[in-house]
Amino acid sequence: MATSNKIFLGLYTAALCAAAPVSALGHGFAGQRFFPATLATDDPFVADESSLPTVSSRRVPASDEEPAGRESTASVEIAKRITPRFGLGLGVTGLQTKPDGESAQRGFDNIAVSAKYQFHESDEREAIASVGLDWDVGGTGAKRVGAESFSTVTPALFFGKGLGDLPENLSGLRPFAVTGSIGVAMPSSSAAPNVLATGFTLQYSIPYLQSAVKDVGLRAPFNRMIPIIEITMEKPIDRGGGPTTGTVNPGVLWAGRSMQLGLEAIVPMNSRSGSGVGFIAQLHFYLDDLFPQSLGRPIYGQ
Amino acid sequence: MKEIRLFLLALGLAAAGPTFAHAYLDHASPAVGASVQGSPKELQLWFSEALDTTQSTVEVFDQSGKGMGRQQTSNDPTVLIIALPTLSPGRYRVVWRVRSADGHRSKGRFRFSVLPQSK
Repeated sequence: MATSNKIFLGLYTAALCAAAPVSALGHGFAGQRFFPATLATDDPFVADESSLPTVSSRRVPASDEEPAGRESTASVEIAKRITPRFGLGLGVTGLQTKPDGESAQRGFDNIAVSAKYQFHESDEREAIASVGLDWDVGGTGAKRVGAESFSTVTPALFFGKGLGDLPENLSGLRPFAVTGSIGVAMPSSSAAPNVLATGFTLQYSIPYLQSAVKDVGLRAPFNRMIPIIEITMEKPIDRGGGPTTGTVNPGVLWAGRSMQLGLEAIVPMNSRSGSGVGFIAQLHFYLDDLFPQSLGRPIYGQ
Repeated sequence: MKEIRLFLLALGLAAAGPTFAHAYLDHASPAVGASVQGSPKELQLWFSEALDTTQSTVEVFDQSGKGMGRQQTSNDPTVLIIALPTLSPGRYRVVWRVRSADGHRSKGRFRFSVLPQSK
């Protein structure tokens, strides 16, 4: 590693370590409920945030074109509120594919652009719902890593619900929350099928447990942890169809003052989804907490 | 590449910087969900951030919904205090609404129980 790289890495790590011990909440609130940013399932709220970076690695199965191999990604995403309820997002992903017995290929995937409108929030019910549109811009990535030449548009519904409104005799379940998304990915190419894409998360918020249900005495770093299971599934629904694929991702999130860390295992749901256990990790910044008077606030409205 | 590194470093330094964040309840006395013997003289709530105390409130309600006690001023901007009258044995609901010094609002509620004084 070059000296400049080492210096940068050292400074960056030191800054993050300095940020880490002091904790506070960021965004994604419905009443007392804080919904953290999740790694594999799109969030149900609009926010000023940046995932910088998200990295993952997993074994992918053989396809018609390539043998099985390992796929690694490093992506950067930024989301910006235009109004308090409407936001835009941009994502760029670097890909490395390494088919078994072949040399690795590196390149960028297609650029992803998104828009989301949060149409519902209930503080009492700890509920949030949004609709959004994701546009995978065809032809902007490298074909050698499998980036499609055609675009795919995915309208989707996103939801989040905390269980804090359960009756008192079920108070042990109140730290739980679920979030999810359901959408249809519609490619511009008539050769590719439309795909039903769903995501679901089950979260147990230790911060919620200790601040709203019962202080069990957990202190840093455990008092900011949110164990989570994410499940993603994709099902081609026409044009010849195809198998359902998906992953189950157990892991943990840690929500700090102005940043969040996440680490999850990636477990394939079936043999068509991959083999072995991969991982996904994310460093996530709450821009509304970092830059409350500039980048972290809606451009229009309060 | 250099620009990306500088941006990452700026984000890291910003994250390590002064307190610009939502305030959350760190802990309370009586503790969240606790059962205490005898009536506490006051309720104290410790928050993660300095508060705008003019815009931050804490209230205690008994089971009939009657408000109890009176909020006190605190020298520590991260602490809210409410002086309590003698509380009868029973369950009490605490409702807090705060605004952190940089303007972020947050709120929450929890319960605690008062048990009869042991003899």
